Amino acid sequence: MIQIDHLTKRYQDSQLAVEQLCLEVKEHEIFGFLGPNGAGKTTTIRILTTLCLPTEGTAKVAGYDVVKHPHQVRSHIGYVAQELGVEYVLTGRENLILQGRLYHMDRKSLNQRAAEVVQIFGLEQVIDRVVAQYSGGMRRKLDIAMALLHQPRLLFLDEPTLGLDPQSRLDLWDYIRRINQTHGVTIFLTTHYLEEADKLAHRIGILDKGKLKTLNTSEGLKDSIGGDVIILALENNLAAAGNMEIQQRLRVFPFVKDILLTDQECSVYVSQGREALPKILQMMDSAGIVVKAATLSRPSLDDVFLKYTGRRFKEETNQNSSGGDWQKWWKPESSSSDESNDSGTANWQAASKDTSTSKDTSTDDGDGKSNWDWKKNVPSR
Amino acid sequence: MYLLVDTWYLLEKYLRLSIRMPLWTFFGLIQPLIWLVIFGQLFKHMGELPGFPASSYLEFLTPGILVMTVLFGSSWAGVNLLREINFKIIEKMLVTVVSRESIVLSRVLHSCLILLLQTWIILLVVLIMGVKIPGGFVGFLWCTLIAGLLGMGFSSLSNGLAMLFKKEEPLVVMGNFMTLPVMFLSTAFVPKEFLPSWISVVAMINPVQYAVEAMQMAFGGQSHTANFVTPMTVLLFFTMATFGWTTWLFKRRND
Repeated sequence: MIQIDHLTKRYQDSQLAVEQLCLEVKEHEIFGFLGPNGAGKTTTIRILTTLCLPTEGTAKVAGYDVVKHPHQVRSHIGYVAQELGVEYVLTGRENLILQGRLYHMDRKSLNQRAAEVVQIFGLEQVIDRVVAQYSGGMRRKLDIAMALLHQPRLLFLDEPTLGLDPQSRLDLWDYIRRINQTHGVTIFLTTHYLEEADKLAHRIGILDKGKLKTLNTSEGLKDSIGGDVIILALENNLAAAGNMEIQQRLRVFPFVKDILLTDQECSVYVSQGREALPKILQMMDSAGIVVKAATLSRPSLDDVFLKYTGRRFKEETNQNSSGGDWQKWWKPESSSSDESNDSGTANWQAASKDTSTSKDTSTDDGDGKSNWDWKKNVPSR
Repeated sequence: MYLLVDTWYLLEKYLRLSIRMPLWTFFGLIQPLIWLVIFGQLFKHMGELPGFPASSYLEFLTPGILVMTVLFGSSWAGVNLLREINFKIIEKMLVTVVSRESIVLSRVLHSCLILLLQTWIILLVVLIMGVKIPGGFVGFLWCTLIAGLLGMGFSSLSNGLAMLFKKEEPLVVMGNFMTLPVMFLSTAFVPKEFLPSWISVVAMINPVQYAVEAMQMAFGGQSHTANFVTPMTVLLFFTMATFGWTTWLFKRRND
């Protein structure tokens, strides 16, 4: 359905948003593009939806080249942007009908199809009200209903649950699954919620700083790490020398597959976690390294992210709330190139470096384990 | 060719939006009348000067006010586009198969329709105030056409600036700092004979001057003369050029 070949996008300020991206999305799958803010997800979608041109490389959508045959590409895709592209002063139905007109649907099939999508998304009660009266979840549903009106084979969802409350988010996941399963629509989804990619996507591509780091099913990604992950919270900031010592000592064990050290924690990927944990703790004790807390769990996408990028997946909750939209509204010039935004990336890195503060303040939307606050030994959610 | 169909449905949407916000549309319609009254009173006695080309200052002023109304109204057309850009409505449209020309055309025609409504209201009020239109009904039709062309030209330009810069500042510069000077650097308020010579020179490169000239000739019943061709041609080219430029901005996939 989508073939991306060595796609590169360089913005005018020579910022690389996407670099040498190669990717294939199969028909009828839900493909999840996971990455922090500024990773290049939106830029990729904008190229695939014919909104902007790639600097290098090619991309084919539904068999058509996005550069050479934009019209054919457009007729086969539906697009749901991060921000809602609906007229607030018009009713839901007026928005729907106009959308169908823009796709040159004839009156009869448009009315029929409009009734169908309204039913799919359960919008019957509100469809004749003006959109300004809709809740966030309903607006998003209308938005997706509009994108599906002309029966596209492929649906692009750019951060579909951004800014929604947890219940609406779960609700929307169901609809997205249903569109995919019942109606066979291929879905290309970007998200920076680990959980969303994990629960929804058949395959996940991890994008970081414009580069595709890895690509597999959620389970495949977790399996690539090894059986279990043990996270040790360590007393002191580990100096480089200490790092080496711990690594050497841990690597003696045959069950240790991989070790990743950040400032204050040590992730050990092991094959037999339950047996490994006491041995590792004994070793640390005899080496005189104080372990404040230890967690044993199945690896999560957060661990996958850590393994492939060398950093934890931290999201700045503030930036992702509606406040972000507000900022964009006032600074429209940044919205077109926000994926390449320098400051966004810098903030993100700063947040991930300062592990202690971000652990306390951010609620990581990852799997159960990453929500575990290992300092207080209580779940943070 | 979906150009006309697409344009019609988009135009329908914009008209619907205008009708849903009647208060603002109303203020937009009333505003030029305020200009007419202020300027009409301000320069009233100029009409009594020897050598003045019209029978009253108000009669002379009317074509100028028409041009000014169109210019002021259309220069802000891009602000509404900015709203649509920021709410990603334009982006959504660009992902559909809708023809890009019709996006620009529907926006520009919508501005035009409102401006024409204003134009007709002014003409009606002027008639009630006792001014005669020397050009008669033919003059009225020409005035409508000129107002339409000028409106299309400047609202294209304003939409283009919004699309190019995606922020308000260039539009504010155009709407606030440019419109008034270009009006005064023309024969809209003061006849050619009374203009300082340097302003007459500057007026020659002022596109608005050609609209003022055409409007004054149409209003004054000189639309059949050969002199009418030049300003109309300039106006037509200006409109086509700005419309073409803005459509090109919507077509290029660059950001």
